[in-house]
Amino acid sequence: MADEVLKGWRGWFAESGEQLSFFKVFFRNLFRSGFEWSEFVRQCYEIGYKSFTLVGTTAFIMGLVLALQLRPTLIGFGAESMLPKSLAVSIVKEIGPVITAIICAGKIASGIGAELGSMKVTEQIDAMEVSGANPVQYLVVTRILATTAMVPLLTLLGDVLGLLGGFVAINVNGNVSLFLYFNKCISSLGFSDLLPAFIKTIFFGFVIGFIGCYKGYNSNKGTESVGLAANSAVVAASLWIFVIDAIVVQVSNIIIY
Amino acid sequence: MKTTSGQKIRTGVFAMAGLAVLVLAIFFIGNKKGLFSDTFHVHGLFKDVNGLQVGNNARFAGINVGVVENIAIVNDTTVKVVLSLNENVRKFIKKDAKIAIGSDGLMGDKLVIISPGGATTSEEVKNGDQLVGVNPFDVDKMIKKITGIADDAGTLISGLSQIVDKVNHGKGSIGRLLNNDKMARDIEGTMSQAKSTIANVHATTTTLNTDLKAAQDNFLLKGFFNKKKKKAMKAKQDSIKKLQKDSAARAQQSPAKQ
Amino acid sequence: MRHTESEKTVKKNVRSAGRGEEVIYVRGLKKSFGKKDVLKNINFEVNKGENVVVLGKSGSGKSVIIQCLVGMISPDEGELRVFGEEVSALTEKQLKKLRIRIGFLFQSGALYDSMTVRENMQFPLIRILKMNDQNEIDKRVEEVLKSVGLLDSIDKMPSDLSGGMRKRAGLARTLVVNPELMLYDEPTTGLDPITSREISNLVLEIQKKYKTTSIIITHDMECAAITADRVLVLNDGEFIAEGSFEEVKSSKDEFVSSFFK
Repeated sequence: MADEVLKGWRGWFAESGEQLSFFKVFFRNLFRSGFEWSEFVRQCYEIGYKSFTLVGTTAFIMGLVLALQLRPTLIGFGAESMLPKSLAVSIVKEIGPVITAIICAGKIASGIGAELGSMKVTEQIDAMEVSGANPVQYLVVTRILATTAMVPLLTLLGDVLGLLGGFVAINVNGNVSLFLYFNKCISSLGFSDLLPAFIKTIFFGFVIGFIGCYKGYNSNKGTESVGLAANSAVVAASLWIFVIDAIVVQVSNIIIY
Repeated sequence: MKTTSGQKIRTGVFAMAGLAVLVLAIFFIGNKKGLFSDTFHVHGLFKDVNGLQVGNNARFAGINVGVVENIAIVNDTTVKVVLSLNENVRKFIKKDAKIAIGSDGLMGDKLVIISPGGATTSEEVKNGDQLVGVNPFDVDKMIKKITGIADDAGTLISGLSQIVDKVNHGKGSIGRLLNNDKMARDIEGTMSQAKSTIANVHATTTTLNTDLKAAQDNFLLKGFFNKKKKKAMKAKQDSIKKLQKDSAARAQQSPAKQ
Repeated sequence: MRHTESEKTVKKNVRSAGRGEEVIYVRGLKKSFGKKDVLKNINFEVNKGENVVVLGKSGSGKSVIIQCLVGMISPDEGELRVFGEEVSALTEKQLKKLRIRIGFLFQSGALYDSMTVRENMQFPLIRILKMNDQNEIDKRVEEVLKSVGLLDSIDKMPSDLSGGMRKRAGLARTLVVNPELMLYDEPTTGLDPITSREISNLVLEIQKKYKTTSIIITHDMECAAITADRVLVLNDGEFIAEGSFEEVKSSKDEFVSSFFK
């Protein structure tokens, strides 16, 4: 029993060490000459543009639902006019970044995990390495950078669509001009709301790409390991997103107040 | 797989849209905080800022014109509040403007209210000026005061009610006045008597007047009245002579001058 | 067989040219995975221009030998020289340089399945040989594809190719950078007999045309018969027989002769 626990911990530490060395490899290749621009752009297209419909739809619905759910409670307090403010704060600070990141973890991290996993299984990564090309630079660096750049942008656009969803929901019951709604949203936000939220999405993006690449790149050479890589990438990336979220809240509270 | 130019364009548009949202958000929020417009600073001293925080709004005529930039304790009874205000409202705020701390709604944020001033001077405020800080309306103090007032009012009212009670029961002069018919009738009688007395006095005065005229014509007193008349005539003649002399002297001087 | 003759002359020539012509020199190679000793004591050398076939059962560790040669797997023990350089002592940069001189054809062909055949060919040219001139690249790609007979499929995706075509394309991609040493990992596995023969002949042709040295890992007798100048038989982590195809075929050893039944 004790042995098993010890083994589990040892495995966990071994995994952490492996991730750390993978990060080192990524970091070393990040500054190596010969950055794969066209692959990076293609990944941005695949990761950013192609996820936009999904992220946008989800964010819009989230904003809509949130507004509809909050409304009765706020009316109970006689604070209906606080609706745009509470929507703006909750969407920009928490719901936008986290929902977007979770969706991206589901779509992008699993996609990268499966893609690199199958490349590993079919020896494509080995072939690249043996031929003298640099698979880390071509496959890993571009993907991690693409997620790191695209997830924040997806989140920002998702925030806007979420707020639009809230606007639609408010206008189902009452009548608020878009301009007034926009003004109220903006006036309830400060840099202390926007910037920590934006910075954490950069970390979310990095984690999504990194975990996806790590799981795919280090998968075993069996067909089932492709599925395993995709699955464990989603699980690990989602977990990391919440951990980072918690850390960012604490750190930004310390810095701001 | 090569990226087609269509994909590149779409990626570019996507990235630009995302960045535009970021830039606009920063711009609008910064604009609200007055980060990108010209500002100037004024400060005021307070005993108590009632939970005001850095970043709270400053209002002038009900419009947000700036924010609280800094709050510092100067000594044990003084807190310095520095405001950063938009340059374009400076011309409306005079040197004798006052700042007070208020709150936005019943549970809302604290804010600084600037009252315009202009009563004693029409000079605009300058950067770094100190404005008079009106100490905030302390709810506790107010309640204490109101309690005192209510106590006072209580004693006052009980006194009053005693008085009213006495009056009602016909005690004291006012009470008798209001409550006793006999006294009123007495007063009425007194009044009619007074009237007839005054009529008598009037008649007496007329008689006295005729008596005095008769006395003037009386010979015994005639000499006295005549002397008085002569004196008056003489004084008149003297003044005429003096006038003539003066004019002669003036006539001599004027040709010599010419 | 006609090749046996030429093989012998080549061998003689090489031998007379001396040890300097050795492309690969392996002594006492050992490798174990966990508790399983896959390679116990491997000794062999390959001379320039030679086609060496390594025969062995599946899972006997044939592929491990060539993976050690390119530094994909580091051996537990033993001396391992390629082009006169000790592989385990190379820095990352030197290893990369060495790998450029070696072509490695994987079992599956290992085509990059997100790229067309043309882009697969261009990938090593741009990234490894750092070629910039698009005309030159196109010329090179077309030439190599022609020599493996795949010019028609130049703009197809790997998923649209048959097994044999993939092998050819994979071969073309390894050849496109002009390697001096070719390592084939089971080039005919999973193909029908006719295609197998075609591929085997292609391997031979290539060796002649590009003057490469080759090691061919296989358990396909026909492929061995067509391509081999020299055959090494691997069993239980050691080479138990060596010689020309005919020599090995006539071996009295039970295990070796079991291959030819």
